[in-house]
Amino acid sequence: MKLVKKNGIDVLEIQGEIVFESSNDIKHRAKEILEEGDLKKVVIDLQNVPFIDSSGVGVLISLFKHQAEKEGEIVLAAPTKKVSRVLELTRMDKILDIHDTVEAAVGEV
Amino acid sequence: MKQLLYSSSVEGKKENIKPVVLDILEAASSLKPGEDALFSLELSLRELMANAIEHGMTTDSQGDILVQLRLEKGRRIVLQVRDGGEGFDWKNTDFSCSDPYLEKGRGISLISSLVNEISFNCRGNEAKVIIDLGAEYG
Repeated sequence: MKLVKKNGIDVLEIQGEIVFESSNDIKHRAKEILEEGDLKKVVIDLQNVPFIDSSGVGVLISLFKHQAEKEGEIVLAAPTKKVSRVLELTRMDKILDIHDTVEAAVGEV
Repeated sequence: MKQLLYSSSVEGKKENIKPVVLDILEAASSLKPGEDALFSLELSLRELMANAIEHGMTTDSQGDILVQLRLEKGRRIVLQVRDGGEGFDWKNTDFSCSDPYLEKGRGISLISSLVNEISFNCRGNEAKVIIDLGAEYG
């Protein structure tokens, strides 16, 4: 997991599956990064996340609520095909801001 | 007619999920199913194994998870996952996950939205998922 800046926006790049086996570690690490930087608007780059399960969806909801509590924002970007499907099935596409590309999420296009 | 494609009993540990997923997908691939069927199978298996590890491995019931995959009637795959736990009261459990902001509890709802059928045994420690491969397999 890596935090980078693109177009002046903080982008949290996640690599690997966000599934039951890894979800707790990813959630805690992501929250640490959000806290350390006192980040407000954060784009979560999902282009290197090949799969997500319901635990992974729970991680995204947890990060969304974490940011909302401090009047911050979470934006998802570049979900792969399988991840998109899970986000649709769980109706996350109705409550989370999701962009097809990182560029679109950081306002470059 | 039933054809057993995969059967394995593994210790109920997180690190055992991925190897079983890979083996099951390889076993199912021999049937040349569509992309959607494989996706449904993978997600169902991951959710059911996660549930088994999280809820079926209490201190008093440490143990293995039995995973089986069969081809039935020549056109549907049947996935069964059983743990050694006490099971759960599925008849009185709300799987609808009506609150999208919940961080947990949407696994069965997710499976239900993907597969043709999901059912549980009376005790609630075994789940069965049916995925129809389509008429061309009939």
